[in-house]
Amino acid sequence: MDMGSPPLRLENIGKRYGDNWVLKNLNLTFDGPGLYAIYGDNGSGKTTFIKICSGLLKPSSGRVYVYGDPVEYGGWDKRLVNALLHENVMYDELTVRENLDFYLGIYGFGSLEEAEYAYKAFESLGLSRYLDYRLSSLSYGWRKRANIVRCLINSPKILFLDEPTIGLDVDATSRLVELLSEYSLNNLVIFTVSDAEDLKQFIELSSVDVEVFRLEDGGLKHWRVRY
Amino acid sequence: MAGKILSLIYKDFRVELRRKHEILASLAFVSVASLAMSLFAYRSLIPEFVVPSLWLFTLFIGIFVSMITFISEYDKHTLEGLRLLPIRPSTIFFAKTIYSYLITLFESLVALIMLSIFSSTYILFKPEIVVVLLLFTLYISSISSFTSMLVMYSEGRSFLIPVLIFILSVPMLLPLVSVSMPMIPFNIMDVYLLLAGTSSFFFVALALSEYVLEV
Repeated sequence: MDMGSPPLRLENIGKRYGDNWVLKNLNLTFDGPGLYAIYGDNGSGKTTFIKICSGLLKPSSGRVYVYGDPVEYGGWDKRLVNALLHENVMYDELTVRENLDFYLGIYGFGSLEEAEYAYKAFESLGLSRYLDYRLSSLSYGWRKRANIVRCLINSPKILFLDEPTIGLDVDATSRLVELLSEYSLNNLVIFTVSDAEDLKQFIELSSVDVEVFRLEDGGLKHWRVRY
Repeated sequence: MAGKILSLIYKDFRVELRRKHEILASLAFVSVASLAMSLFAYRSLIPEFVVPSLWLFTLFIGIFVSMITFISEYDKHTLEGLRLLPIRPSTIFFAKTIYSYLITLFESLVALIMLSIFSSTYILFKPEIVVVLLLFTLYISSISSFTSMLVMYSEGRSFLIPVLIFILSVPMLLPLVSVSMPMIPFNIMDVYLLLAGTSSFFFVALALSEYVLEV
């Protein structure tokens, strides 16, 4: 790992499902901290992009580099990255507290207070009232809040969020945008969005500039540089 | 690393205990099957019949356990949560195998006790049978975890799991036959064979898990 290297570099990334290339020859370098949006229609490859960059999916061609290390076969430091996915990746059978304790334990934290941003998110998103509820008994929005806290536990240098505002109410959305804006001052935050109105709302609520990329026909291009 | 393995095992037990019905269903299977097999052994006046029954139950328990290890995590998307964590795939596999072993051993011991009670024979408590059971359950747990990891992406996994577990257990049948047949004298070499086979398979599966679970 070379902390002098760009946090994230994509080199000729392509992904094919059958004969259909969802992503084609993506070459992109994210040089430093910031808030980036990947905007695209349904099926444009946003989730595939997030999964490839976070090491959950193997690209059909090309390589992803995290601080100079290729994202493959344990050759990179997973502590630097985390992701919020569409799906709930926490255990339905466990309570919010038990789930968070499990993830905290793996990262070597004794309590949520030790994980600075996760604790901030926990407080800000009002999750404390459901701490002892099983995840299966919570609504989609509250499960999503728990997952947001989970993905901030390790204070990742690179944070990916797949459609983070879907399922959240207006208040939670504004708190999340506020939190991500602050977090992006020192870290690279990349989120996807498929709805133009959601993107507009995100940008209006954000206290920092958002750089937007348009994912279309398998390619990624600057759609609007800064807001 | 030991702390991470313990956390993974503890989490798996917690999740499984909350689900309850899965474990209860397999315990019900063990109870009913033990009763049926014991009745057969008792009526046929061949008490030794309970010994192969025990190995057969252990195989079925292995098939059941493979469904609740990697496959369950994959279906519920929690595997993606695990893969985002800074844990090597081999560590996850190791923890799953230990967890499988504890479940398989527990249910096999329940089967052993029930078979003994229902058939009114204590042949299953012979030291060589208990030693072989301890090793065979470890072998089955390794196969079970490996199979679960290997076929979780496949749509035909319901068919593949029992087939693969049966095929992979064949090389270890010799020591099982040896302790099951009263006319064949027990040979300690069979235990060494089982031990060597179990550890070889486990370490090969552990090495392969790095490539099966990782992108």
